[in-house]
Amino acid sequence: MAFYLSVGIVLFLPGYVFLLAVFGKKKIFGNIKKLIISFAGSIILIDFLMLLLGKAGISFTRFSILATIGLFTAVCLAIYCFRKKQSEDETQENKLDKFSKNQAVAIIAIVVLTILIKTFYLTDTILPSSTDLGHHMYWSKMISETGKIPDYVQKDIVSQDGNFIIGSAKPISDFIIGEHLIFSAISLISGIGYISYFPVIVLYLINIFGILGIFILALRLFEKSRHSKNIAILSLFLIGPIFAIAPPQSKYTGGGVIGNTIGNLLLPLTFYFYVRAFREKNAFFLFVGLLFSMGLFYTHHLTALLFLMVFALTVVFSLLNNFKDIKNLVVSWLKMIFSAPVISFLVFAGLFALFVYTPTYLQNQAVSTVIGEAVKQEHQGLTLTQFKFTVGEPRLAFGIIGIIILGIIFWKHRKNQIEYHFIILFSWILLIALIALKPDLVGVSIPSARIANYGVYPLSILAAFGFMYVFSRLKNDGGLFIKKSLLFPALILVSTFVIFSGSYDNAQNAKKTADPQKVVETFHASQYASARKDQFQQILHDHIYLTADSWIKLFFMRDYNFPIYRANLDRYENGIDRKETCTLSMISNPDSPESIKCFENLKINGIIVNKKIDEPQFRKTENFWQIYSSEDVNIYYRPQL
Amino acid sequence: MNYQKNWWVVYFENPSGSSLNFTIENHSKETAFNYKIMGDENILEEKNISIKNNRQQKINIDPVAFENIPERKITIIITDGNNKKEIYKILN
Repeated sequence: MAFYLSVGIVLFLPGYVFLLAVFGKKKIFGNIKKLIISFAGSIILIDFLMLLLGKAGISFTRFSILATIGLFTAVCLAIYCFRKKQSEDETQENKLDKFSKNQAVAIIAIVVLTILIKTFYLTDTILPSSTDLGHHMYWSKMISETGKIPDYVQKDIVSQDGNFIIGSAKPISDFIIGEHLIFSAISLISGIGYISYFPVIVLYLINIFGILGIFILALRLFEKSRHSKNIAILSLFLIGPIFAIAPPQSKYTGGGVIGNTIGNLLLPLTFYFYVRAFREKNAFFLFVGLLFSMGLFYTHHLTALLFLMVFALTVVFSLLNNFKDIKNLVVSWLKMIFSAPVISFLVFAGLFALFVYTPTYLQNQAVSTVIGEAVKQEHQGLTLTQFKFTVGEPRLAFGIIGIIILGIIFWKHRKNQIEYHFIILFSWILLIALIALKPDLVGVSIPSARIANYGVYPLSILAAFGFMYVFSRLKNDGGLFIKKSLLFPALILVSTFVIFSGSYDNAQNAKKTADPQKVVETFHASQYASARKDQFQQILHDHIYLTADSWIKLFFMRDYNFPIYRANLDRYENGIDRKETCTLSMISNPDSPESIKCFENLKINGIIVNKKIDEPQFRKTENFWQIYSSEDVNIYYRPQL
Repeated sequence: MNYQKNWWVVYFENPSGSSLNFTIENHSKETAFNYKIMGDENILEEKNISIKNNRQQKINIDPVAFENIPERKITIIITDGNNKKEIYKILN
């Protein structure tokens, strides 16, 4: 109960009162939109509030966080109460929010089905086990325990004068503060521990709201179309129950891919606000759009980079689209930019980045590692077939149809108005496809599969549009192309293909990931070692065969790299990730001269390994005591010889 | 730790010293356990014990009893009738 209450306080209240303060009593958003935007907005606002709190030198505690949220709520409500009731904007939004009975049933059915499928998959992964989630929760726990914003640093093994030592703490660029603060806030308020169901539940909620974000973006993009609601519902279907498990959906949730999952919620909503700002020439929408953009930069650099590129391309295309009237267009944009809410936000954002908190990837010049030629193999682009399987075949097929049709419509109407929906969708998918397929053309070095996963979002909207357009045209003018009597069977056939592909993909991805018993055994072994930590100077564990090993460090909280670990073998082979072989050798061949030197230099006297895989090489030698043994985990002690 | 209820574990209470005190933690359906204390290949002590599900049993070994034995490797073997686990220390 305390957990769910804290979720409401952290992930709904700040965003909701913020909307009230910014938009007053105008009925600009329907209830569903309010819920989704409040949720996403809360993630951003909690980050900023906690960063301010940290900068002020106030320790994070249950009281300080609740008091900050309470104060923020009071200020927002005070602003809200001062605003006059305005209702002139009611009509447009209310129209978009009114669905027919069939549409409402379809939406509910899709959402319920999506939740059912995702819940079924996550039942097995609810116990925290994934590597990424373990890494992230270390930092969230660190924030909870220290009450401070953490320094993202780790200590690696380095060679010095022919010996191996644990080096000094070095900055890590992989983590961004926005990935961790919400978990710390929820844990501090509710008292819930990190080794529990709570991190996955929070990610699950973010994922579901991300899907709903696509729904409201599609509704807004196609607001001028009489099929807007059906396109939005179909988008929801294409991103919800089918392909519900493959990345970036439940696999990311269970896998603890926090930054991406939050990014996939914030990105569509950021576009939503920009579309409204530029169409309605409303500075308040631009203000919220900017806030969401800033949230992206404090949460996930990859999504922020993608957003920046899509945004830049959208601006260029919009200017080209309206080249003859470019002066008026620029003036209308400048009016919005030089409005009180936007200017005050830009000042706030600048001061915040300079004096409150600068994202780690900017401090460490990590951006330079993303720009340039792709060196790693997994950064060098996917084949078209790989891309097709990553985004889902029917989504790609109908997405291509959708973009072609939208392009034709755009070309026909290019002189009359700016087709923001086409420009955004085109820029969005074009950049994703280019980076995923031909990264050298864009000059960025990012994991190609990961960037391709972003494609499912614009493609779901484009595919929904393509599907709707083709069948509505066939229904109306079908006699020219297809007999009307064949239309329904054709619809059934295509729908079957879509549903079958998506469901087959679900079945393929629904395979069990981690055996809960093995997870529990790893946790028990960690508990055993941490309860006797004064007897272990340094610990080494295996990553390849131990389940949930990245969570071991949460039992010690000594350093991000404590215990040190044997990584996947390719990490030693690619010459980039691991520059030492001590960790490999000490488990694979513990009695070798190299290992003996490593053990002695690094003062390692505790080794946690998978019993079934790594027991033999330890039993062969008399240098280790087997001090702990469960079904799958053994711990060895190396006494001073 | 009792999740899925089909595992058990044995460990030395004190990893670093010469103490042989050990604990069996039972998260399985089995309740009858047998332990043997071996000095190299010789059985030095053997006992049957009962441990209920989700309980643990600490077994204290009298250090005097093993003080003067010639064997260096002391192994504790535990079985539940089906599965066997062992822990050991190699003492000087």
